[in-house]
Amino acid sequence: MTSRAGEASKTISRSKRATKGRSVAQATDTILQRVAAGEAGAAKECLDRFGGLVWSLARRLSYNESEAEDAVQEIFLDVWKSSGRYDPGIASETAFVAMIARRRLIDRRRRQSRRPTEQVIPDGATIAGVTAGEQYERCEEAKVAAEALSELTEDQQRVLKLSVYHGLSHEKISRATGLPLGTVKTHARRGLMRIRERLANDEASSNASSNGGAA
Amino acid sequence: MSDALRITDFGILADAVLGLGADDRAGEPMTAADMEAFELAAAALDLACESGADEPMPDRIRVSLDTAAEQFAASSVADRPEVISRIGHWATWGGWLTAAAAVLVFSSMIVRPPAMNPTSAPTAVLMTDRQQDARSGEWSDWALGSEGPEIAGVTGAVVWSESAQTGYMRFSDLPQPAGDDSVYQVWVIDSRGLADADGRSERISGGTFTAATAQRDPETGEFIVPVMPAINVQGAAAFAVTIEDDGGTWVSDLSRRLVIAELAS
Repeated sequence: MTSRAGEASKTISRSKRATKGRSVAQATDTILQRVAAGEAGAAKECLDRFGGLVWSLARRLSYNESEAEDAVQEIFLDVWKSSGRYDPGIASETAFVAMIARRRLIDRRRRQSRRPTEQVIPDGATIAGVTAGEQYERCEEAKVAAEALSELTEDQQRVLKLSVYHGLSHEKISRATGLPLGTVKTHARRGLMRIRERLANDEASSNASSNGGAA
Repeated sequence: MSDALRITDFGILADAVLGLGADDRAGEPMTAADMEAFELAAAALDLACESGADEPMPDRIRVSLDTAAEQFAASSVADRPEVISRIGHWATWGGWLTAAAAVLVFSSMIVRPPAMNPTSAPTAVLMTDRQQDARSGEWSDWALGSEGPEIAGVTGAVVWSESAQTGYMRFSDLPQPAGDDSVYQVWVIDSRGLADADGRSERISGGTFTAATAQRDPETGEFIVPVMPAINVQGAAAFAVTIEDDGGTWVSDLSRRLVIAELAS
């Protein structure tokens, strides 16, 4: 593990402990925790809240609509199952659901990678455009990530967006951008580490403010 | 989630999320928490890059997910695993099977449907026949429009008990369909499925079987196949059998049909 990743992880662990009380206090306020508690209607409410998000992610990161339909089913089952370990002190529900969705989608793509598939490489305009979208306001993590992204070099932004948002392999990114494969890997890794650090710092700051306010 | 897990446990995800190849990862341990922190970062970035509004989920998917949600909510909270590992500890998933099966069956997942257990046929017959609500239906060739079944003339019946959630099928013959890898697959259809012209909707897989896995009635020589759907079936109106590739399918195109039987009311 890299030292930066390790520090980020430690920060997460510390903040988790620091916000444990807050998490308990918020337990009745989150859909996922109500799902975990077996509250009637909570699983459907989860569909109401995150159905569009998950479907949009699945459409974008699946090879075709049929695959997306399959993936959505898998994702929500995983979300419900994982609801018991959701901690609002670590992530927003939106980010948590998106994380699980991406995990499933990535896993499916890897499993299907042996199949002959067609993958559309984004056109040049899309590759060049790395402006963060307007939807980041739906959760704090997205806002922080957008800010962190804007601080990266243009090449790092391009690589990260193609990798994370479009789901392209590093080999494909290398061909699409003309960057050496090693450079693509480095940009992706360092860029994501940077975002992870910003998220951890933001979380630590929030927790410090919360604890200070409480005191 | 165990922090003792190392990056080798997450090779696939690490490659995808971080872009680390096997060579890059050599000697670099990473805990589950580390990996999840990076996954969360990637998710946040993904959300940040989204420039359009979320696309509404199609109604047909929502309907099947609503059903799965109901099954999930009905499952025992006590049976749910306290900690869910990404790797998955299947041994702790017992209480989740109902909800999982609901998703599996009502969706078109790539996971294969279960095969029948040939040893349970006598039990299925005994269990079903002694139920007061047991209903039966005689097989007839399953035609769609002007197209007949792939194999015509198979006779027999299906018996089903809703209260016991079990049943069995009798077949006069189960000829080997064309293709070495073909199997039979049974489908449970409710009243809505019967109203559908081609029976595509509201059809639940009851599992796969072959002549080799079916049991023979020692007296009549008929093939006996149990029906034990993985999820709770309500309102079964008919049963049907298709021919599918080995392993079965969650969504049949109904191009290779065998028989269908409506249950007597």
